[in-house]
Amino acid sequence: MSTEKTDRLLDGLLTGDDQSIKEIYAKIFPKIISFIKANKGGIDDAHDVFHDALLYIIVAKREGKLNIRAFEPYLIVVCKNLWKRRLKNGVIKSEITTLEDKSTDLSLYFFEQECFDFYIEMFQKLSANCKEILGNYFNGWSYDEILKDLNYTSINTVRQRVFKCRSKLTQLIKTDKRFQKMKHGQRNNN
Amino acid sequence: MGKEITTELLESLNQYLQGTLSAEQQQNFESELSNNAALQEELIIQKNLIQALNKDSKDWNIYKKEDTDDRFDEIKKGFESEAIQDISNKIKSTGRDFVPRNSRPIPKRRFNRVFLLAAGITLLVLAIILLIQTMETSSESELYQRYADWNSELPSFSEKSSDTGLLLNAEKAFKNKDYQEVIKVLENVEVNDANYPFALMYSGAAYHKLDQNDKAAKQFKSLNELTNLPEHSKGLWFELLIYMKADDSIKMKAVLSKILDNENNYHYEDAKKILQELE
Repeated sequence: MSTEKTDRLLDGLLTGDDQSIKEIYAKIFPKIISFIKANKGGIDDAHDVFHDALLYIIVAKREGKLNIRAFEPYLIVVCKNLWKRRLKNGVIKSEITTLEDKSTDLSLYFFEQECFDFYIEMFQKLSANCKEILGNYFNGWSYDEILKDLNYTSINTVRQRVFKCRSKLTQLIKTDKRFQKMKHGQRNNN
Repeated sequence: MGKEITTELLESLNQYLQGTLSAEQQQNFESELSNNAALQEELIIQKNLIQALNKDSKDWNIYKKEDTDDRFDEIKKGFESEAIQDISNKIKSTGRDFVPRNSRPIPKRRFNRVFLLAAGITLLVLAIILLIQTMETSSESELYQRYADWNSELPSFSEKSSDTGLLLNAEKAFKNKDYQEVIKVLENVEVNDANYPFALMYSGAAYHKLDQNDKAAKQFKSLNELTNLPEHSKGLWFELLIYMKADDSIKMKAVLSKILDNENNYHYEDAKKILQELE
């Protein structure tokens, strides 16, 4: 999907344009159905999550600070995060029936996703090399696997490189004034 | 004031989050954590980075209202506003009317000259588009559609008398698209087991179908390392399919060059063609 087309769909969504919403469903919803079904959910869950994700994007854009580089990938990430949240929360559908409950839940999600986006934004500021090595590291690759994949000379080199890149990343995070404002900084438990 | 994070402390932090420290090590780490504000901050950062960057992470930090800020009420009003509720109703309505493509009934059409003419023009336009597309460089997702055929690439055990029930069950689960079951059936196959290479093939393919491609890639890399096995280079081909689907031309080229290192590697000729198309 070209950037121009997805920008048009996002603009249409923000104004509640019927045709844009239909196109979004046609192009993107089937992928969400597949994902949710492959992760312990059903078609109704997919509908709920997709609806909530679209609503979140609209409210977050209107709030002013959401910067979406590519609409489709971002919508898919939001759907996946909302589903993870549901599974983690063990939400039973009947527990969220009122507008009050739904709006409270999505408002909390707004701040959670804002935190998620912040960390992704900081990661994207790293060099290509750091992104590659840390991408593997945070996806659970062992130092040995990283060594073989990126052709480093020794485990120690990999260890040092991971540490250096991670230090750079944490420096970016800590020096951004948003980090201190975000309440996640006050919590150790979840 | 606590000490700054070191490589050793970072590794302990990671092991603490993974739950792989011994009871004593965990106690020591938690004792260090309680006195070390810098380490507490690193722990929060590490948890958030894993949540954001690990594709397989099931973790999600759920907030309470006290974790938000003074924008909360405004955001909540936004969700409750009439304008947003109108759009919400439109979305729900569109969702109700949406029918996935493969379950739509094929509409009946009247057979008439206008239809024939429209069909003819459509076919002509499609033929021109197809001609233009074949002249352009192939896209990776097109490549995936052309080359990925998991059901015929993966070994079949149905007719072999020496197969164990384990591999038969994995094969059946895969054909039934029960990919979680494939992984569950094969999770305890040991490295020195004769079935290990086949377990890597099926579990890697199952992870790929579940979109857990980092785990899939690990399985296929391990398969390729079994150089005593004639089929070990299948690991490279399967890994290539992952990157084909993800449109990752950099990783595709890296794997293609490994396949082309040895003309006996699986799908060597196809790898040559694919590399030419990418370039």
